[in-house]
Amino acid sequence: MSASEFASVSDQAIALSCNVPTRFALLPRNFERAASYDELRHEASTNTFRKLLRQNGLDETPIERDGSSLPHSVEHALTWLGPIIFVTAAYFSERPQDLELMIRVASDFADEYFRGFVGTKEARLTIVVETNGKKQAKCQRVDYSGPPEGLQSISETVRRMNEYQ
Amino acid sequence: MTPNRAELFDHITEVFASTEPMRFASRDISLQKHAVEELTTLTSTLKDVISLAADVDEDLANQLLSATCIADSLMKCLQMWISLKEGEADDAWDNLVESQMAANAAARAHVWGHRFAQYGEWLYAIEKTIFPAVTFVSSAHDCGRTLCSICQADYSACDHIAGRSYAGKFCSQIVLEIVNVSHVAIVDEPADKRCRFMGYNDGVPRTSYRTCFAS
Repeated sequence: MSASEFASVSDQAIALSCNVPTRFALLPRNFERAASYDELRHEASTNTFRKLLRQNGLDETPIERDGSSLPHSVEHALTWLGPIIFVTAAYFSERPQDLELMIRVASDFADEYFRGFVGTKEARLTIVVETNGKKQAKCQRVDYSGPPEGLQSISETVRRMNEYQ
Repeated sequence: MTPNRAELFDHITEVFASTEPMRFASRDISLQKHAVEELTTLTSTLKDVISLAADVDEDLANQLLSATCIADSLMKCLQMWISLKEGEADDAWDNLVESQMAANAAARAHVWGHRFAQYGEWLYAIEKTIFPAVTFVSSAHDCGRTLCSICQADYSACDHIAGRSYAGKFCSQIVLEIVNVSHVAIVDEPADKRCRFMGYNDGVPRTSYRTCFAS
């Protein structure tokens, strides 16, 4: 697991003419470095993950322009690649339990993906949390890469990172 | 009419009990071919019963789907040994991989399939001991809109989840458009182990990685 800074999600959303997330959003895999809206690509898991979140009562602010959808990248290695989950500072402080629920949904999804497989299993997930810094809001990312059983440990890392800010 | 679950699974157990002992290399090839025929008949019957059960008992349809996957897995496992005995090493590999995939699918179709976890591990051990190391490849591409295979609606709009079973059928995404072919990578764990380097050219006809035989 590693933590680092992430570009300002609202600035990049405005630059790419995306909807600016007000609560939480699933970000495309290349959101940070894309130069235009047309370059954006979701992970293959994003559509299904969105449905699972919806079925758990969690509705995001899609960054896609109204009525449009983005292509998704399909890779055929046996790795579960979760989407980048972005949570705004206001939403995280009001409902921290929702991020825990999202991570649990991701963990269950990865378990289901690997059900019946024998061999090395790898899951990857990135959480981006907006934090209220002393001068201005900034975004921090936590990247997880490892066995799917370890996904739940991201919750604790994000909580500690937020306390440290 | 709802098919009788107990009677059906008695029959399935009976067929598995007579064919499962043939999954070892030392068994006679003619007995293995006969077992393949028995399993082919069983899967054909099960597919008919699944369509009967689908409208009246979703759980039964999913359990039968799981049983069909196991029958398919056993059949492919037997075909692997048959192919090896007939000198068709590449076909044998494909049969093994299809056997593993069917065993995995059984576990996803219904909780009944979880009882075959050890069998899945056995297939993995066969992969590691019977065949030489393989270099796998994985393709990556960008897809546009997809449809749900269960309800044919836009996949992002319906509630079905790809990979889950619904009334005896697996849900999958039907890709309508490939926007871009990105790359092919060498990977340790591909989603499909049939995607691999098949052979090499060294000035003579192509040599198979599997047999080291030039053809």
